[in-house]
Amino acid sequence: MNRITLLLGLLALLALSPPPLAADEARAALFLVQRSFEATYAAYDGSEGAEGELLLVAEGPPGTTLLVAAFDGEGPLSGTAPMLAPQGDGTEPLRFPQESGAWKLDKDSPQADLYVAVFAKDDPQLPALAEGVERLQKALADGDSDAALLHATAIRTRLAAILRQRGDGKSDAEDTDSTTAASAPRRPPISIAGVMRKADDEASAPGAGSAVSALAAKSLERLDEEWREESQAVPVASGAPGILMFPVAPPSRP
Amino acid sequence: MERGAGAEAGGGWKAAGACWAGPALLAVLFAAFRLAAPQLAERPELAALDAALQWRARLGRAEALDSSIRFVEMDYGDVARSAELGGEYALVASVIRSLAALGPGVVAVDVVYHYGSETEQHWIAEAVREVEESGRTRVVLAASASQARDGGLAVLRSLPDAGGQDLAQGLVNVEADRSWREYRLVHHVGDVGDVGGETLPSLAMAAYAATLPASLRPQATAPGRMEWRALGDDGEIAARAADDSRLFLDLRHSYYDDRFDERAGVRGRVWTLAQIEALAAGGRDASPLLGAVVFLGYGAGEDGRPTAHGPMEPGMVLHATALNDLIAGSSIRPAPRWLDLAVPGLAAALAGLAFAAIRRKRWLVVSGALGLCMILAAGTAAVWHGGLLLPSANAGMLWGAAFLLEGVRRWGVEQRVRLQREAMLGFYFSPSVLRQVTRDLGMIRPRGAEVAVLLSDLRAFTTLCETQPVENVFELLNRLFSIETEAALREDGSLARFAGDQFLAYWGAPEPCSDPAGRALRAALEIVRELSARQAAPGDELDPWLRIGIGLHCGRGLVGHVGSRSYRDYNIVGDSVNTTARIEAQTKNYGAAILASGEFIAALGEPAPPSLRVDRVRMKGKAQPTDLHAVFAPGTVSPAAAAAAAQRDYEAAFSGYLAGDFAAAAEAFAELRESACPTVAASARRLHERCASLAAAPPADWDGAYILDSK
Repeated sequence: MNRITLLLGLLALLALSPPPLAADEARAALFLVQRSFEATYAAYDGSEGAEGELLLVAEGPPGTTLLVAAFDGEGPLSGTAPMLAPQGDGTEPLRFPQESGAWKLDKDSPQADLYVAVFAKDDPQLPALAEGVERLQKALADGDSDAALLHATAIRTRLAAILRQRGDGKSDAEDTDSTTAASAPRRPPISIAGVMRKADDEASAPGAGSAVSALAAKSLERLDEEWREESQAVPVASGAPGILMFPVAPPSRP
Repeated sequence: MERGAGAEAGGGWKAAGACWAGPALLAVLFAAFRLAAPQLAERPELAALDAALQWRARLGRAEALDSSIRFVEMDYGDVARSAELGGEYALVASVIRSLAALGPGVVAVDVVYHYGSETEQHWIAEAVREVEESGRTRVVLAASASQARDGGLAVLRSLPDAGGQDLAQGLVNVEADRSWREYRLVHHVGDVGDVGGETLPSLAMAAYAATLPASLRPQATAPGRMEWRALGDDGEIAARAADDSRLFLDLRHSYYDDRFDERAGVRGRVWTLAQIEALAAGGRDASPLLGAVVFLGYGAGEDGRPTAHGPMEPGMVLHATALNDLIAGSSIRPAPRWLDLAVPGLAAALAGLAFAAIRRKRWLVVSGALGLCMILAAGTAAVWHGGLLLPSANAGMLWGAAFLLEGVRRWGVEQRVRLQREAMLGFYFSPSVLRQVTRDLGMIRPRGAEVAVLLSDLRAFTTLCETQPVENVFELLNRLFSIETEAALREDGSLARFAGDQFLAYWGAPEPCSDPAGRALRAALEIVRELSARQAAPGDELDPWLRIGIGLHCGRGLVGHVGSRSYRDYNIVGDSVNTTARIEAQTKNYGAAILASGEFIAALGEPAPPSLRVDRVRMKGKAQPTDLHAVFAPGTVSPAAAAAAAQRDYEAAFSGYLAGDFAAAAEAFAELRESACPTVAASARRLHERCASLAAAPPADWDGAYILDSK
């Protein structure tokens, strides 16, 4: 290979590499890994019929702390424990589950919620969550199922509260009457009105569907270089943790 | 006269007992009332609880409900529109599915769906099971307990014909009189006679249980009791329990007051069905209801009752508040029975101590008001910070009643003492002076004062005593003293004493008065007028004996209590009294009913009364001479012209006498010895004899004053 070709190749690599991590945002991506003849990965979006292993990759700006936890039904996702990862210069992107574990997804898998939260160094909510994660990890290690369930519930409640706050803010940003609850001062009624109740034989229960899209699979060997292309930004600021929640459903369920 | 101070106070024990009697009695009455009618006795406490909660909200010190608690309101309009869907049951099934799409942790339905058709019930049941299969959202339905025909309680569960008994349900019964404030986390619903029965959670408890892992949810461990394990504040697992005891809800603020949510950064507390449907289309990841406990029920228009914070608050608020109290451990418990009795008892004890220590009325009022404020503040603080409903209202009522009673008691004592003083001192002072004295007893402390003194003496008293029966003597004396007392009191005089047939009154003490000499003169003239009238027209054989002489003098007197420790008298002593007595003793020598000293005449204002200077004497033991003036009462000297001429002649003769021309004076006085005016005649006879004697042996240092040898 002559020098010019090498130089052009290096320049191309430089142009194609993702931009460096912004100081106020983390990045996270959930992938479905399929190991057949060749190990491939694709961004997970709940596509119907897709089975495999789920893998989360995330990183945060130096000085922040990542918290990753997966819950199914009532407790931590079986076989996983929450992770707390302080981020610094040169910290490797976090992978969940860790190398020793695997998150299999098939039609028998339970529905789960995967939370990725990013906290600034001085976030007031971090110490309590960190302690909860530590206690949950210890309970799992000790085999104390009751303690594990309680600590998992407490962590999930806190994370859901953070997510709700983000949802409240997003509703305000959209600012439509149909999505904003407290758009006008509420007043008590003057008196109690009667309620007419009617019964009909016919009823229809609305169903719900989810969009299905096909995503291109990529070689797992390129995950380290290319994962950020499929990642989502998670803004983080002091006192305003960033959070993402990935709902995970088994392939047979919408 | 008065007895000694020790007898007056009645002793320290008696006074201390009087201070404690009122509070002790009130404490007993309050305790008896509390035991006999506990519900009635509790009403002030409930009013105080409402007031404490209201003030906390008004002061902005209330906290918002936990951010995980949200409401979805249905109203009459929604039900009316649900006809297109198939009715209310279909509507609720649709809402449950829509809510589930938003990912709440729990949906608690605050409506009992018991009476729908089997088909309708299945709509809701299917929706519930479908939602719960996802594992993310749990649904809690409502049940209620009502009186059955056999007298027991029957449980009306939701969806009885669609397997509702297998679904999580909580009782929505809330006890209330005029307003909603009570709650029971657990209910024990039994058969008649309470045999058997079952322990059921309230809707709040059932919603709370739904937030916990299935294996850790509360379980009934005894009738009316449920236990579970939860994380404590220290992060350690602790056992917790709830029972069917009565709690009071820590109602934060009105359901319609969004200030507290705004301050806490909670948005989207209350949602309508239309808003939920629109939100559901947006998916879970941005849902403001993710992981929340959502209460689905009717607004206050259909299910509203008064609470401490408003006249129309929806029923969902009660269950939500109970849930919040369960999460935060902030429910308000009624005080234990012993505190219900101890707190008012303590108030009574403190009131007794205050009464024993505080003497002045002003401080009594201040301490009463201050104590009342502190009691009510303590009760409010116990509600705000301690979650305890103390019997502060009853204690405050007892405190106020004790102070009122003590005020009345002290007023009664004051009145009794005042009446005793008036009865005691009324003998000495005129009513107006008595009023001043009873207001300020310091007025009767020993002191010197410039006074006008009146002293009278009954003429021929010895003869009276020898010739008249005892009863007549006392009758005459009392008649005379009545006349003299009335005349003196009418001029606000102070009465010194009745000594034998003598009467002594004075003016200018214990407090100075205006024109004391004038008052004394008017009193003397009134006495003479009254007695003259009685003599002129006697009513019986005693009236003719009412002949007196009155001496009047002005000088310094000493007033105060005189006597021993066991027997005292308030009196006037001093030279002024002695001089007045000597002047009075001379009245018969000068034929005058009233004889006044020169000092007295000088103290009188204008116009001067009709009088005649009859002599100048030097009392025994005194250095200064005193003029003697006969004062003529109106109508006692007639004819006026002849009397005036005789007085002029007397004054001329007296001037010669003062100058030492005794021979000429004697001649002049001799001509006046038969004057028609008795005073002139008697005085002229006396001075004629004296001038004749002095003419024979003129004194070398004559200054015009004749020395009176007798006292």
